[in-house]
Amino acid sequence: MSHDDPSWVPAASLGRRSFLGASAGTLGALAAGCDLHRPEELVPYVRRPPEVVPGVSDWYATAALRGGYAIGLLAESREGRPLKIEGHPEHPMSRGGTGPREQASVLTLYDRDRLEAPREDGTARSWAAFARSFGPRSVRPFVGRRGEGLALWLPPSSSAVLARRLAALRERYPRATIVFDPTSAPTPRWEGTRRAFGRPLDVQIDLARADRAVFLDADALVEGPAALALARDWAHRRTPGEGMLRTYAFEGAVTSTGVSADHRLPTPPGAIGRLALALLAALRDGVSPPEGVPHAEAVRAVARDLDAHRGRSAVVAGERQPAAVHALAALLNATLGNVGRTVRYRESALLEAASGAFDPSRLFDALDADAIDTLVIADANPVYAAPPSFRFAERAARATRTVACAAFANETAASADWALPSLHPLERWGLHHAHDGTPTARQPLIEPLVDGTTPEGLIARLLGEDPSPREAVAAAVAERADASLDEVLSRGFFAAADETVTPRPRFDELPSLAEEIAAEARADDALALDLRPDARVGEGEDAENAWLQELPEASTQLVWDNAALLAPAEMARLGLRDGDVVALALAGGDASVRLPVLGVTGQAEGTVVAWLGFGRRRGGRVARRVGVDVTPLRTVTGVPRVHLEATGERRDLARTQHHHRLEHDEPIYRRADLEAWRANPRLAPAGHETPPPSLHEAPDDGEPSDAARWAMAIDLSRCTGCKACVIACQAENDVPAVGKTQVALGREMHWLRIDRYLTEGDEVGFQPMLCQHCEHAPCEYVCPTNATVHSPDGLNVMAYNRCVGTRFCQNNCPYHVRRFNWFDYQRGRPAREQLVHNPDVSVRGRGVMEKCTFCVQRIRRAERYGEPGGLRTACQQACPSEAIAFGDRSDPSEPVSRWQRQPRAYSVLGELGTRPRVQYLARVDHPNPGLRERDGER
Amino acid sequence: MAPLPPSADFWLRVALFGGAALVVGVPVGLMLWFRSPLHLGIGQVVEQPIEFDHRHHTRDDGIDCLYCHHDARRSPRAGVPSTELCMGCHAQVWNEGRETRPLRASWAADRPIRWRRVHDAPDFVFFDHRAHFEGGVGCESCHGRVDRMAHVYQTEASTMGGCLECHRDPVPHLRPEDALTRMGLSPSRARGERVADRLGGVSPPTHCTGCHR
Repeated sequence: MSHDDPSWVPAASLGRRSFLGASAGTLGALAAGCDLHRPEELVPYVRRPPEVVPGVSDWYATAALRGGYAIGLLAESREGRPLKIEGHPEHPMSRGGTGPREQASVLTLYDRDRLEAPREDGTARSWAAFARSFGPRSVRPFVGRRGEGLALWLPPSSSAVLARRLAALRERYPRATIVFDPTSAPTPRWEGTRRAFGRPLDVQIDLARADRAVFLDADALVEGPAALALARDWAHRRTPGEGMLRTYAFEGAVTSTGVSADHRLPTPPGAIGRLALALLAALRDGVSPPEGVPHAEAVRAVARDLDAHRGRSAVVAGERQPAAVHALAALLNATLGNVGRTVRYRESALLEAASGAFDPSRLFDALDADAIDTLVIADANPVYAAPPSFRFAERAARATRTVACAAFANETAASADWALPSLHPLERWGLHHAHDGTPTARQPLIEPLVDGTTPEGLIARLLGEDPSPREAVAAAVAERADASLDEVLSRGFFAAADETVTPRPRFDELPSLAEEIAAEARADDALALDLRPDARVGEGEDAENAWLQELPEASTQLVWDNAALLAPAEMARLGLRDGDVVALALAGGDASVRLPVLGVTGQAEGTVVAWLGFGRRRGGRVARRVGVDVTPLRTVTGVPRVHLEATGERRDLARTQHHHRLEHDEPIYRRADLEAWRANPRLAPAGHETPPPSLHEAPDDGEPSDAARWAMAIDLSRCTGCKACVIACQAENDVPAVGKTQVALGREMHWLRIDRYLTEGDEVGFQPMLCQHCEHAPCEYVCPTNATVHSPDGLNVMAYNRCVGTRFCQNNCPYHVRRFNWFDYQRGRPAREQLVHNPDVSVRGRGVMEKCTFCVQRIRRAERYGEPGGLRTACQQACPSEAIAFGDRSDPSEPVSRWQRQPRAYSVLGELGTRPRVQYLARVDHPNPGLRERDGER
Repeated sequence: MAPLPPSADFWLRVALFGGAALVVGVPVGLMLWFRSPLHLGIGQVVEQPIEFDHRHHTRDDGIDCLYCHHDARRSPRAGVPSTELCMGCHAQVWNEGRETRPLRASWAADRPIRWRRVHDAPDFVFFDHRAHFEGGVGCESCHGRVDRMAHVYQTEASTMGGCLECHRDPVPHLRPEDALTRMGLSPSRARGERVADRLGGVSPPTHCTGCHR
């Protein structure tokens, strides 16, 4: 649903004629009223697949990709339709956690706007027609010339099947040009490790064994193929007390990793190199520190701390930092003796990593020379996303014909001669490799809903072959594993040999690195531009997904939009307010983009942050016309510098930051330093050392003693604010996306939201907020129809069919977690889109209140039949950092009981006497006492 | 101005009593209508694509309910048999003739038979066949004497009152495992208590989320 989709917006006015017409229609329907009894149909199988039991879910191991690397997943299937994605608990790169984009992928599967069949110049054609014009028997130029004139543009991939197909292609067409999209590959990291160690390598961080970690503009806990595992390790080291990890984040934008760090030091992205060099200079003799290092005092303190933890620390460089910073991070880790301990290196799992295949210049030269007759672009959208210096659209147009394989009619597909439907990940076979090299199988959960293909399948077609994708995976598995295909598919992955290497550092590179770093320090009045793939929609790949578009962005709570983010002080200096449209012009270039500004507390001054992936011109109805396309400002490497100019225009932005504000006496988000926590483990505010006396009966009153007491505890020390839980809740509970205009009116439907607080010192804190299932629930007292009541096991439940929509409960809820259906958000969808609904949950109609149920459908199922892997709510299951505990509080051995017994557990708005069943564990940080930027309890 | 005509008193009374009758009668009438068997669909036969006769299959042939509706033991849904299951017999017996022609057509064309639902709980009710089966409630308690039905019809009202009546006092309706699909067993508290003991007590939910989620 797009924000301008009119299907659920009421008619602006109802004229007399249309009113009479509608009345007559209604009367007619009443007269023919017996139609109400028209029976539903029951449609059984003709031949029932033996593994399917209607009404019961099956789980299959499969995989998602992040930047080409695999993440193991489990997918729930009910009667053959995929419903819900979870992380694979045994897969080393998931460990049961997922991110929001993995969770949301089921919505895209059923999207009505997917390309359905091959198209030639916009007209639907058959695959046979495609084969006639592209099959190997057709008379085409590149066949006779050993592939000269044939070019392929592919996304970075770790697919074993693709490797085999490319080998076959190269054998048949040795002169074909194969390019992997360099902009979405970790090319700076490869170049950096090549300079530091002599060969391009992938970096694996082990936070389970590190005591200190430094993130250099790296959102490592949320972004990238190893983030889920990193977040899990990080979370396990956040338990207050001895053995706590300490993290430092130097970054321009406000990221989840920075917010979660013990020290977050705002640093423009262009200054990270100098900072890394200064760290190295402090730790290693014979390195001279550079000029103009930001946070010089802090850098010395960090260096001392790292020095005291040699071999037990880690330095992580961010994906978008230039190669020199990656090289310095590698040399820092080598200096600190971390290599082989907390930081390990291995050959990249991506195909042809760091080879010439990631350099598009040969292809571009050939295109410029009109030497390419067939350009095939698979699963990439370079016409939209490539940096303008590639001049991709213009060059692609010089090819005699272009073929694009895409899920939606995106910019590349629209400009290509042939647009071929690309299969959804849940429709594909594959064998991919995780970031740590684990071979991970991908099996389809459903027969393809469209007549599509994959990059592997497309290459097979170009070769004139049509092998079954299952056979291809079987062959790839047979090459690598002793196990049979069925065994591999049932487990989802198999262990790979440890391929980590211990490279020899090359400190002789240092002078040239220092020179490069020094050259970057420029003193002009331009701002550093931090262009980041959006955490929700990526570089536009997931812009078709309404759940992700409506997910409030972590640092701004902005939905359905992007913006130029500035530090508030910078905005005051420039005389700008939130929503003012500015023109961003590339320094020394003519590219310019107009987009609204937004102030973000904590962002580094001298930095503009903007997200890629918005302003899509072509594609499905959800993606188009959302936000502004900032790719014109994109550069291949380095940090672009921009000039900013006010335009006098304004643009409305929909943010959820100021919705659902809680009125409070006591602090809602509690955090403290380790020392303060040791002195006062309850961390209660002064004057509230003991809980306020209650005039009500004892807690848990009126409940049968043998009933469970469902409760939840959320550890704020562990929450990174990644919002996987929000989307998991949305997928599990059929929560609709409502569009920008509705969100602007405060009508977003999320049952679980992540509130963003500024604590003392303008530090950001994230707090998941959901129905607190109060024992004395204010909502229940005011419901005139008893639609919201308490269950014997302590759930605050909603009976939708009793609700008449007075909204009294919403008004009386101090936590603002109740959501009202202003429209029939789910009605009128095509049948295919309705397949995403969880059949265990009612679809709510207009005029009904809803809210978090603690996933009561899962509770009831687990109570009766047990749940493999234990009962978990959707949010809890998705959380990569295990910040949520849920269970029966009457059992003192349950994790939730142990968490709630901790002194730092507190109830939000506990002073109201609502006795919430959800408790929060105050966040305890582990700051460096030698870094006196913050003091004591905040 | 003329005084009111003598009949005014009469018409005033008619209006008053008539109005009162309407105010009371319309809601009462609606309440009666919504509880009437006609509205609840009790006893109403639903036309099916195949003239399937439960009497014949269960009484004459002695086929157990679970032979066709075997999902009742492991799924919330009892399930309707696949064409394949029907053809398991009807490839051998009654493999020609008018009555089974739609079945053979479904098998030949690989097109499912579109049956029409008789027992239709509202979409916001999550009825669980397996839970009832495991709890010792047999088919007959809700579906009636299907073995005597030429065309299946509803015998019990599918209203919340009907559900709750049994959920509040389930014991008389409990049966031993071997009698779950037996027909013609009248409720018995003594038998039910023995079953409940064997099951370690039976406590069906009577709160909202037992059935509404």
